[in-house]
Amino acid sequence: MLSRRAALALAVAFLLSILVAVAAEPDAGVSAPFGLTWGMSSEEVRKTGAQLTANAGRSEFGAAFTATDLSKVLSDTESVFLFFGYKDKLWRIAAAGHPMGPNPSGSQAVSRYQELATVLSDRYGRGLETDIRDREMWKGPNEYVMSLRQGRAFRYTNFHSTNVDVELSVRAADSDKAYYLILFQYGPGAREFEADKKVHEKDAL
Amino acid sequence: MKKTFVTIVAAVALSASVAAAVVHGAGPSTAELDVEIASIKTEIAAADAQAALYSGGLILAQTQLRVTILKNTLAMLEQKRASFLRGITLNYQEPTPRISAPFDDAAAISELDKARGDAKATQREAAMYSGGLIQTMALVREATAKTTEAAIEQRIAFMKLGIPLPFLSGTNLPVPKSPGKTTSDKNAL
Repeated sequence: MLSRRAALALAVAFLLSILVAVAAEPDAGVSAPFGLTWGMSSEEVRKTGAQLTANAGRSEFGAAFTATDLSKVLSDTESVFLFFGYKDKLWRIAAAGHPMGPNPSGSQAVSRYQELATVLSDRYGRGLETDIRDREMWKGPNEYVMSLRQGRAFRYTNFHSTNVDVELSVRAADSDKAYYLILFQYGPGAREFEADKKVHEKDAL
Repeated sequence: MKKTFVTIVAAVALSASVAAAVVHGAGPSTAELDVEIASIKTEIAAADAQAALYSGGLILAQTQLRVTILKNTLAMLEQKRASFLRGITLNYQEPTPRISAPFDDAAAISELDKARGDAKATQREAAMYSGGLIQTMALVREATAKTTEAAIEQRIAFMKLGIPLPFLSGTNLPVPKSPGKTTSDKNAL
């Protein structure tokens, strides 16, 4: 027969193991941008009234869809892409703004980028900005968008919260139009996706 | 025995010529691109030097336009060259069927010759005067002809590299669906 103290210790250990298991499970139900919830399935997204169109071609992030009729989006968002990995769980979102221009200096897109950076920092904490400029070829003030387009300049800010990583950047649509791109990635979902990807690749070989 | 040997040699020679034809047909070589890049850089330097002579006006605007076209061509050539060096296959796809008619190589070269001839003629005409309105007008025509020349050179480079010609925007483009109901930045994010 176990003593009373030993039985209590066993019960505590059992409860702790349950708590650890629950904590290790990716926590579905965390609110995501655009009225979505991290971890929801594509069917659950459709039930909110949104329409999903499967993206043609291969996605390096698992099942990928272009979403329309979302319950809330930014006023100048052109496209929203949702990624569900291999297990049909939302773990990555990309939102691209309308190309702004003709504006070869990129001032309109940069101004919008700065506005969004402020809003994102309120929610996800202070971001870390990288601003690399072309100092050789496309260095004129009216050549900034061209330098972005040619991959000779980069401007982006990374935000890290407990569960969500965000990257906000300015991109070039062509030589005189730029737009913002926001990438949201749910940490537990990303880890799950990476593990699934390894299994998927192993199976494929 | 001798017949078999001759057959093998002929087969090897045929394979080599087919392989050479395939490689040649795959696009311009790095050496060819280097020559074109050097040529475009020289043209940019010359156009920059010409632009530096003016502080404003139509000739400067035309020259700056030419510099921009040349820089675009240079960027594209450098991109193509980098793709070769890094072993990346660079494909340019048209989002919609092209609206402009398929470009004829011979016609492009003929247009280029004409633009070059016009530029030289107006250059000679401008050199006949030491100033005044007639010289200014000749210089404007020369700058226009040189811009046309740069644009045709770009079209020829596009053709060589298999890059689709730019299409006219605003026609037959699908209307994108709205991503959703717009709200404030804070609420959406």
